Formats: sequence, C-alpha cells, structure tokens
Amino acid sequence: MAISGNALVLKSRPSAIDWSQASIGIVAGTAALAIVGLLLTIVWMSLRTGVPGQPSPYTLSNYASLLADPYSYRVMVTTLIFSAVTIAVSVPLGFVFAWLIERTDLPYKAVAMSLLSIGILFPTFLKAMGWVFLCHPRIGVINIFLMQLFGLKSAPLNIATLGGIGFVQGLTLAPLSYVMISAALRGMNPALVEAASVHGVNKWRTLVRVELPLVWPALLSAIIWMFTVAIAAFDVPGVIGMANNIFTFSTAVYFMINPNEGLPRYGLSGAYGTIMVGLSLILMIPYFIALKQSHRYQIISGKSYQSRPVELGRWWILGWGTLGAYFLLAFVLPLLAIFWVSLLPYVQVPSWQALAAASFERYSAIAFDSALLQAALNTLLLMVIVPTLIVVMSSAISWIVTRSRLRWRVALDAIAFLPHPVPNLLFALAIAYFALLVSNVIPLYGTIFVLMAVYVICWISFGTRVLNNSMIQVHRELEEAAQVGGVSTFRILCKVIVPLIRPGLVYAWIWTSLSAYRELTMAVFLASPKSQVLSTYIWGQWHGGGLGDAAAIAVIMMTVMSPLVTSFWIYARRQQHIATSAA
Amino acid sequence: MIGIRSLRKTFKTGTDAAQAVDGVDLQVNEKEFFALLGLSGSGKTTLLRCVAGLERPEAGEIVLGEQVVSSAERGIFISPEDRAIGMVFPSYAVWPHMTVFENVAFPLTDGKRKLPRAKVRERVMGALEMVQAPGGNASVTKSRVLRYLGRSSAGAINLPDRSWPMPAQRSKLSLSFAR
Repeated sequence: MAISGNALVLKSRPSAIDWSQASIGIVAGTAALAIVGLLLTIVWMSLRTGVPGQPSPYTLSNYASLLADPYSYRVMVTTLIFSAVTIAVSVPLGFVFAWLIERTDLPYKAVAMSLLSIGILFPTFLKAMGWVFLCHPRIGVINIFLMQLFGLKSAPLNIATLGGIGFVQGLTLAPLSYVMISAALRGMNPALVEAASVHGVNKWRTLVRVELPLVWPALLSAIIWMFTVAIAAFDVPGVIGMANNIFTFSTAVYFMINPNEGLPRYGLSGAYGTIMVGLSLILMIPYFIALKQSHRYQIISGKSYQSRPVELGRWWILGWGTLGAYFLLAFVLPLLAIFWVSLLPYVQVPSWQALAAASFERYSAIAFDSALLQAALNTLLLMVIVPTLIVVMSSAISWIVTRSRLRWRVALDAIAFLPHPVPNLLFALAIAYFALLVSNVIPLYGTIFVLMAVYVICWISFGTRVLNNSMIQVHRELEEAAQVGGVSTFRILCKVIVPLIRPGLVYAWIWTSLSAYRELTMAVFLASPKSQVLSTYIWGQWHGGGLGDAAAIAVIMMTVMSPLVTSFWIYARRQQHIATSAA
Repeated sequence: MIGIRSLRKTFKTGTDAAQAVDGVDLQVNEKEFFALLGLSGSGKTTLLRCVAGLERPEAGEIVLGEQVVSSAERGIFISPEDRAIGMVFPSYAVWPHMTVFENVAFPLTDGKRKLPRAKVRERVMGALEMVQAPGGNASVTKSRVLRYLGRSSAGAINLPDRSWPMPAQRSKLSLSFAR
C-alpha cells in the first residue's frame, strides 16, 4: 500500500527552541551548577593558601600539614567516638519506638507518633543549652541539687564530656531514626512472619530468625545515615563541646575560620572539608546497597494487610514508660531548665528562695533590643523567601527527573541529592569563601543573601525527595492528554502537575520554612553583625557569657515556634504525610 | 486520513528488547471508523501512541491528512502538541482538579490552537450537550465525556484508546460544573 505521493512534508521546526521546556531546564541547571560549584570550591580552597583573593600557587601543603598534625587525628577520633555514641543512643531508641508503634497494640499510638514526627523540628541547639543547664559540672541544676543532697564534693554528672554530647545528640536524632526504621517495619511483608508462626515457630524465635534478618538492611541503612548526620553535626558539639575543649570535625572547622587569634585558615579547612566530602560520598555506597537490599524484602503492592499486632497486655506500661522517659529527657527537662534559668539572675537549684528571685525582668530588658529585632526580621525574611525558592527549583528538578526522558536526569537527581550526605557547613564555608573572593565586585559577603542562597542550595535535596515522590504518583497520561490537546510543557507543569502535587509542595514549603527558623550550623559560618538571625544571636549571647539572656530569647523563640509547628502537624496529619495509624 | 507505512517501534530495557510494532502498514480513510483488535500486549496502544506522537518509532512513516508527521528515514518528527488529533487514553486521563467544563475546554483554553473565550464556551457546551451533560452536579459516563473531549479541540482525527465498552464496565464519574 503506497501513500499518496502528494503528501505535504512539513518539517518540525528544528531551529525553534521550545522555551517552555528550556525555562524548566534553566532553573534546574542553575541549581545543579550551584551545588556542584560549591563542592568544587571546597576542593579548590584546599589547594590554596592565604586569604581569598590573595594570589597563591596551587599546593598540597594544606593536606601535608593536616596529615602531620596530631591535632587532626585527635579531631578524627573525637568525631568517630561522638558518632558512635550518637548511633548507640539514637538507633536502639528509634528501633524500640518503631517496634512499639508499628508492631504492637500500644494504646494512644497516634500521640506518640505525632510527637516523634514533629520532634525533629525543634531546634537542636536549644536542647543542648538545656542540657548544659541541667548537667554541666559547674552550673548544672541537677548536679547542684545532688551535691547539696548528698554532700558531694564534685559534680556526679558531667554532660561536657564526649559521652555526654554523644548522648544529647543521640536523643535529638532518635525521632529521625524512628521515622526511618518505622518506614522499614511498615513495608515488611507480614506474610513472611505469619508463615513462621503457622509452622509453629514461637514469637521470640520468629523475631530473631525471621524479622531481624529481614529488617537488618533497613537498619544498616539507617545506621549509615545517622553516621553521616552525626559527623556533620554542629549544634550540640558547638554549644556544649567547644567551650570545654572538645572538638569534632564541625567545630574544629568553625574554630579554624573563627580563631581567637591569627587569620582564618581557609586552606586547611578546605583540606578537612575535602576529606569529609570524600568520606560522606563513599559512605553512600554501602547506604544505597543496604537500601536496595531492604527494598527486596518489602511488600510489592501498595496496600497490603498488616499482620496482627503483638498484644502487650500490661507491658504497655513499660512501653509508655520508655516513651515517656524519652520525652522527659529529650524535651521536657531541657526546655524547663531553659525556662527556669531565664527567670533568674544566675543559675540556682529550684527552691523557695530561688522562686522569690524569679522574675520576667530579663524579658522586658531584652524585648526591644534593636539587634534582636533585626535578627528576628532577618529570620522571618528567610522563612518566607527560602522555602519559596526551594519549592520552585525542586519542582523543576523533580519534573525533569520523574517525567522527562532526558539521558542525564539520573545525574541531575544525584546532584540534587548531594547536600544530604555532604555536611552542609561545607557548603556554607564554600559560599563564604566565594563571597569573599568576589567581594570587590559583588558585595555579597556578610549579607543575608548569602545565607538565603546556601539554605536554598542545600535544602533542594529535601525538596526534591518530597516532590519526586509526589510527582511519580501523578499518572503519566494526565500529562500526555494535555500534550495531545496542544498544551505546552510549561503550562502542563503549572496547570496540571502543580495543582495535583499541591500537598507535597505545601509540605516541603512548611518544612523548609521551619528549618530556616531552627538552623544554626550554616548560619554560624556566614552571619555577620549585619546579618544576624535568631539562632546566631542566641549563639552570640551564649558564647559571650550571657547565658541567662540566651535562655530568655530561646524561650521566646520556642513560644513563637510552637503554634507554627502545631498547625504544621495538624496539616501534615490531614494530608497523611504523618501516618495517622499504623494500619 | 491516517497513513502508516512500515512502522516499527521497539522498547529496550537493558539487554532485552520488546518489539511492540513490527512493520505495520495501514490506511484509514476520511470519515472511516476503524477498530483495532488484538490480544493484550499486541501493540495496539503503542501504535496509537506513535500516531499521536507520544512514542518515536525507529522506522517507518506516519501521515496525518496531508502532512507527514513522523518519518524516521527522513528525520521528521512533529511533537504531539503540534499534531491535530484528539485522543482518549486507557486510564481516561480526566484531570481530577478541574471541573467537567474545564476538562473539556482545556485544549481550547491552554493549547496551541487557542480560541477566544466566547467561542470556547460555545464549543464546549455544544460538545457536552451531545453527551447530554446538564449543568450543576452531573454524573456523566467517563467514556462518553472523553469520546467528545477529542472532538472539542480542533482535531479532525479521533483516537479513542479504549476496549469496546462493556455495559458492566462503564464507570460513572461525578464532576461538577462549578467548583
């Protein structure tokens, strides 16, 4: 059968650029370039000496001095021990909570789930401050109390030790480990467990011989993840460790850039940073292997039946006891301690005399401090602009990754993911260096815009995780139908996809907005007198000796945050981002 | 008129290759109603998607009307937005966040062959009347709405990709006219 020879041949327009698609590509490409650019800046930094802008030959001397200095090894060992303690505290806790909530008939589960899910958001450095007020050898309230009670000569509890800061960090990371492990438990195929019981294997044996082996890949991936978080952690080592001469990787780098005397050592910090980048990237290999393995044991279909939960009977008391003890240690005690200290002129054990001295005097004294108000304003600015930019850029990237057929979309996804394992403080360091370099041409250094930029660049990694997930659920044919109807790609993104992924967009927006509120690590590397935010203001007070004032601002910060977090929690529950039931 | 000559489309995954369409020759004339029958997996949907421009065949030619829209040998490929067709998808592809009116009107309000608003209303209401969908909250048979979705756009060619509707399988779709 031949086609009529008169058929008109109209070439598709090869020279016309599809601006619709190009605009998405430009946005995504800019983000990717920024991420890669900052990482390369760290490596570049490590190969130079002197101050940015000063001519310098390319040299490996930074690495040489790093390797020759026993201090570097001390820092490395300190960091490793710190991470080990953190994992030892957070992972078992997370496992217990996950097991209690997903696998048993614990009463009032929803309360526990919500508190744990939201607990991730509360500022870590505030909890660290609270623990100093509780268990510091000199000013810790609990220590003073015990010493008075038992007539002790020295403080029995010391939080300002490696074990102590590991403990506090572990407490703050337990909710994260709970979220990861519970996802694994929820996805586990119950048929595998039930087959064992049908064949007469008792509950304990099933746990050891069936459940544990099935869940260990997910556990391993959680452990590796916790490790990457721990080695990058700054809040707790910064608040508790630094003043007591305990330096982990993050605080060591901070100290290098903000020394008491001498010039900042950018080159050396770049060397430390490059090693850390390498280490965190290498850690991703076993992470993804373990993750892939854990997916093999998961239920393939979306909704499957859940196995019968373990009946706790009266053991529920122990279950809630554990949860209660955790909430007490992780939230209630430290926050109460902060509140208590904010009311007093100096740290005292709670007593009737102390109560007499308590007042809100501090609050009225600091309330209208102009620097504080400026910091609050800056924080608000960040809380609005950063998430908006993140959502826009993540949409573009996620669209390309999930919907397009471009060959390099996997690489794009990998680049967007990078700021997760790589310590964020390194991005802050790199952008500070870059800003200094161009400070003659573009006056960016010390402004709020550098902070804005690095927050956006780092948290696109979070935004794309959420939006990848959302976009995948939109049926491809909804787009194709629009395409066939003649609608351009950009319009499809705006009018078809965005309305359908709105819950994911809102979730990502609110989460990153609250993250901007609580972030200390990156802010501390970039803040200047002109660009303070609430967290760095408190940090300044803390290290300047104004512990009481720091406590007061912390209380204000938490009071303002609570309604925000609560409304977020209500929203997330309704949108099923937080599971409302284990079933 | 739809003309297909020596069309070939293969899907590769790793080392495996699935030959979905292998050397198909076909001609459907004007005003002709053509039905493709075949077992599942025989390549019916793939063929329709090639005609729509959602898949790029590696060999063969497709002509729509007077226009060659796809030719692997001559390096021609016109993207789906620029082909004058309508298509009904296997999953129905009804946009859940839009009303019935907006669904039917979407190609006319946002597509490349946009019409002025008055004309859009006229066209859409006409199409919906054919389906007998009154205003207000209306239950409309999915398949009916979509059969005429294609007609509301400027498409001269209609590609309903649905199996022959069995009465028991017709699903009711409740969409409202007003949000």
